[in-house]
Amino acid sequence: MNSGTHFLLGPEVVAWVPHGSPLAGPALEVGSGLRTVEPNPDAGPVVLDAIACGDQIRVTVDGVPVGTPPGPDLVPLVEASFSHLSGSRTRDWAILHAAAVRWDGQVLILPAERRSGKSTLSLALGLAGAEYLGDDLLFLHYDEPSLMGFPKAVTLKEGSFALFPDAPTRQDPFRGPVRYLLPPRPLHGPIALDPSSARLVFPHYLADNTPRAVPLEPEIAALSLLQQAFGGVGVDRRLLSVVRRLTALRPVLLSYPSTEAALDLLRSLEPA
Amino acid sequence: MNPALTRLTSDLAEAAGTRIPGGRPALEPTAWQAWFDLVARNHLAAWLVQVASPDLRSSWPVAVRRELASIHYAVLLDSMVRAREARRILDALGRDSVEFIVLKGAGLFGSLYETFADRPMGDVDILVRDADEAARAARALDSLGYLPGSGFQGHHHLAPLRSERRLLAVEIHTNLVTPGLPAQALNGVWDRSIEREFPGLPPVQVLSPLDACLHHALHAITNPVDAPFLRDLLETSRLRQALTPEEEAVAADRVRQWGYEAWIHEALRLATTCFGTAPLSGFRSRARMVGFWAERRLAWPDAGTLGRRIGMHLARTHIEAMLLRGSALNLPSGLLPILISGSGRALSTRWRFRRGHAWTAPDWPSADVGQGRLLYDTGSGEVHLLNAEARAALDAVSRGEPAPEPVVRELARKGILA
Repeated sequence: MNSGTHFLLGPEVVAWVPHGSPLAGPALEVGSGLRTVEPNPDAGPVVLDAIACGDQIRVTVDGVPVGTPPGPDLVPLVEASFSHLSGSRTRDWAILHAAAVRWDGQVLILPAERRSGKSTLSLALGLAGAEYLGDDLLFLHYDEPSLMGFPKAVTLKEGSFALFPDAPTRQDPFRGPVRYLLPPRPLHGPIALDPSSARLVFPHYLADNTPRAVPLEPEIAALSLLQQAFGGVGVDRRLLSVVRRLTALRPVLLSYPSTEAALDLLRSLEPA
Repeated sequence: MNPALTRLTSDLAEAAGTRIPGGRPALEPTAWQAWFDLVARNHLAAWLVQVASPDLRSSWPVAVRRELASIHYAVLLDSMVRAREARRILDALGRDSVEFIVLKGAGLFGSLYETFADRPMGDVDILVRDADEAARAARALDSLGYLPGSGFQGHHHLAPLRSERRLLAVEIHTNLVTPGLPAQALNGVWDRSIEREFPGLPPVQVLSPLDACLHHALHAITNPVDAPFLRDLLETSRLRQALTPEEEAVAADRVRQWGYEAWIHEALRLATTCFGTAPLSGFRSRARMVGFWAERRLAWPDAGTLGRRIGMHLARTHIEAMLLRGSALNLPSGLLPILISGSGRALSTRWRFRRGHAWTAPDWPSADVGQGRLLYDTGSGEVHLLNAEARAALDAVSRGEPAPEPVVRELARKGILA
């Protein structure tokens, strides 16, 4: 298993994509920010590949044919596969649907919400000098105040193309045209989640928003976090501790009409 | 059959290559939602998307195609994780030299289904010879973190084993059905089992084609009511289509040996009605209660009328009683005790709202956030968010101190206080 790339998908999952696989190029386009590692010999990597089957291709996992991709563009499929596989074997880490960066020494956690614009915002922060932890998934240790990023390339939707440098446009069968851009300073972690240097920010984008950052009640933030945690409390009851830890980071609702306005507001945030 | 079901069974038959003569039944635009609900409820979307011809796909409304494609994509991603887990499970069993036959979904991989996404799976079912071998299988899976559940005494499989991550459950069967097949019949099942390739593993044992067909027929008709009944019937139909004349010739005798002629007959009859598969010869036809309920089950997602809903609940009770007690209860004798027991439970809940009751606070996982508290109901899986008042009342009850009655009543009504 030497001719391929190992991608660290999360604290406990490594994917191996063979060189020469139809998925090899897409994997690098999406995953070049992920740490490439040697696999844990006890667990073994997830072998992600694809084989030709008539005029179609079939995705295989560990050699088992899984199915036919819904569209010809494999980059969005690899992105979704990486995200999906990343949480398949985590025992000690909760998975939160959120973006995160470390900017001027402060960790900003941006949970997903409708119209949050977290991906666009995390790329803008990354290009402004922030260390980039990810735009979609964040791993939070159940028992310790520690987090780990998932710094795949940021997925930009069509509405944000004009804000950033050019990149190849990919066709996602459901999200439409998307582009993948990796901020210059990916950060994997794990890093300590210190209340004195971290904030929980719920972004909300609307073109006619008045820029403002208002404190959010911890109870409301807790409910939102529970909704964005994959699997919920049913997977592991320790998720409640994670939520309690996050809601101690003085949650704030960030309403913004543009990324510039959001960055100005974030600069003015004080640590929790 | 209602129009949506008629159209769907026609589409499924066409996709499976057993098209019923007469062309595709027309469907009113407003009925496509019912068609889609049937597809989703029976977990057929991914398979339909993969195998339907372009011509058949183009006959579905654009919105329906888009929804099917969306489900297919989700199933594809999910199957990446489940396929890997199924392989680990079978590998662990093989490494510990457990003697087993792979049943149902995983047992159809490589025959009816070419990829894992064709058939969404929630569990891996295996058949072992006896309780000792079941215990050995459970020990082998313990290394993967699979722990046995409780209950299911007297059933043909143990309580499902589940891992911490709940990727898949594992059901270890010691028989194919409850009440079990006679020992001689079950020995025959083992003797006739065949090898099937599974990528990256030594070959695994699966049921012979005829045994698989009969088992699926039996499973379809006796499965709990929320199960994908139409998919089970379609699989029965496809397995029946693949039988050789030699296998067909011994089918009736095999069924009589199993002792489940009525059930299997009804499943095969419904498969013929729905998908046009040729009937198996040698079966005697007569009206049976199980067939009556099975026909009602097909249209349940479309149960918009009170009469149909009542029928659904009665049939649910009937089938569950049949499953749980391992015997075929016929209405109304089997229904009455269940109705009485259910009503009694409902009434006792009301009566407990009375003054002076010594309320007990639950020992559930919790976390205080701000002034409130998150409380995880380990029974229902719900998370409650208590405000400051409710949190204080709960703490008071825990200490045996008085708390404001309206708050206590509300907590009791929510099932938080008992």
